[in-house]
Amino acid sequence: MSALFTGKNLVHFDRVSSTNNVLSDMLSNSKPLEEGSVIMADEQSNGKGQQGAFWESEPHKNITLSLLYRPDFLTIEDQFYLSIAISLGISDFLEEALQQKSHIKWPNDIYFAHYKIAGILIENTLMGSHLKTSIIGIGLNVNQVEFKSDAPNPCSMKSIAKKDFDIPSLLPSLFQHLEWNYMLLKAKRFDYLKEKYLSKLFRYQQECDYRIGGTVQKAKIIGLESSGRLKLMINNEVKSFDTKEIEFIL
Amino acid sequence: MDMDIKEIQELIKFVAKSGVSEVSIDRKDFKITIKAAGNAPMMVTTTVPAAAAVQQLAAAPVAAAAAAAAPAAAEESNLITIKSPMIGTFYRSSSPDKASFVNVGDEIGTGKVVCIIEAMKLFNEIESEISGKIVKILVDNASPVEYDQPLFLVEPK
Repeated sequence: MSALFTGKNLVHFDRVSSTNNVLSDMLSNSKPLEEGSVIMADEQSNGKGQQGAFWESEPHKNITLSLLYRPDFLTIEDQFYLSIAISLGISDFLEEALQQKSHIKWPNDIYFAHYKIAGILIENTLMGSHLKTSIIGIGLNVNQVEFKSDAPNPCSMKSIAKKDFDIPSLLPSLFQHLEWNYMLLKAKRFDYLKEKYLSKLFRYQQECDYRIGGTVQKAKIIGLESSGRLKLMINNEVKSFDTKEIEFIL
Repeated sequence: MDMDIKEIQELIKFVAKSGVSEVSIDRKDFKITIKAAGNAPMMVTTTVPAAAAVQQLAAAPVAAAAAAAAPAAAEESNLITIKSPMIGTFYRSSSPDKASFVNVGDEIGTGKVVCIIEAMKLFNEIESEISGKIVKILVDNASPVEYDQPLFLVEPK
């Protein structure tokens, strides 16, 4: 089985500033871009993490792409499910390729053990109370084994499997898993997606240290609100947090 | 005393609605008087008493704001707010090293991106649903915003 529309229109560049920016420009400048369009680059001179963070990727060694979806069926308040669906798509792809369980570190980093293998940057436009377009930037470490930046704990498919991967032949499977989870989202299978997300959630139901309001506290992740807020048990009390209110200590 | 255009506008609105003829607020470094005389145009006067130079400096923008509020008050019912469609964090540019999407005085058209609201690492570009001129930006960069919180004051075309 292959993806029906994801990656069908694939535009490949040797070098761009950031694939998200290129896709965003194409979206605003040119004729209507079909859903599932993908911009790929061998090299990003200014790969984007979140709000100014830099995504390190050695040229030709990794998957750096941006994917266009039009989740206009999704309300703003349910938008975290888009993040869940994309995280699951990448996680499912990696588990199939590496035959090992991956985890999702809340809200949307993909991990093996306590090493980060992939990151996601989602940039939406809105129309009234709904999403209109979604540019999904995916950075996935494939054959890179040395990381220079101060990212705390990177890993790659190669560092896990101890072999090189041919990037073009990985793409059909990646697109298929992304599309499958996106179709579940489109079918509004929110409970199913959330359950699957929790089953892969990094440190779920484990007592660990977190930095909360400047102090380190022991807490246990026990669930997720539909807004995406993380629910933790702290001193027998349930509290929920957004991404700025709590920090994982790795 | 810290009083911005919005508060002054609200005060004017309050005076207009209340039916009282005159309201004066007199503080050490700031004075505002709003008179409603029958059907005559509403008058707003502000004075900044001579005081220490530092105080004058601090008060000057307030006086300027009050002066700007007068014309705004005349068309006050015309001003439109762009509100946040969601809870999140307000960003005026796509990243810290980039220019702001819009600034005060900019003419914007429908569909123009005016800011980003981020929640749970999802970045949402907020597009204007009206065209007009940005009169005031009501929220500081990188601050939290609530659902429906006013973000921009726009004078429509």
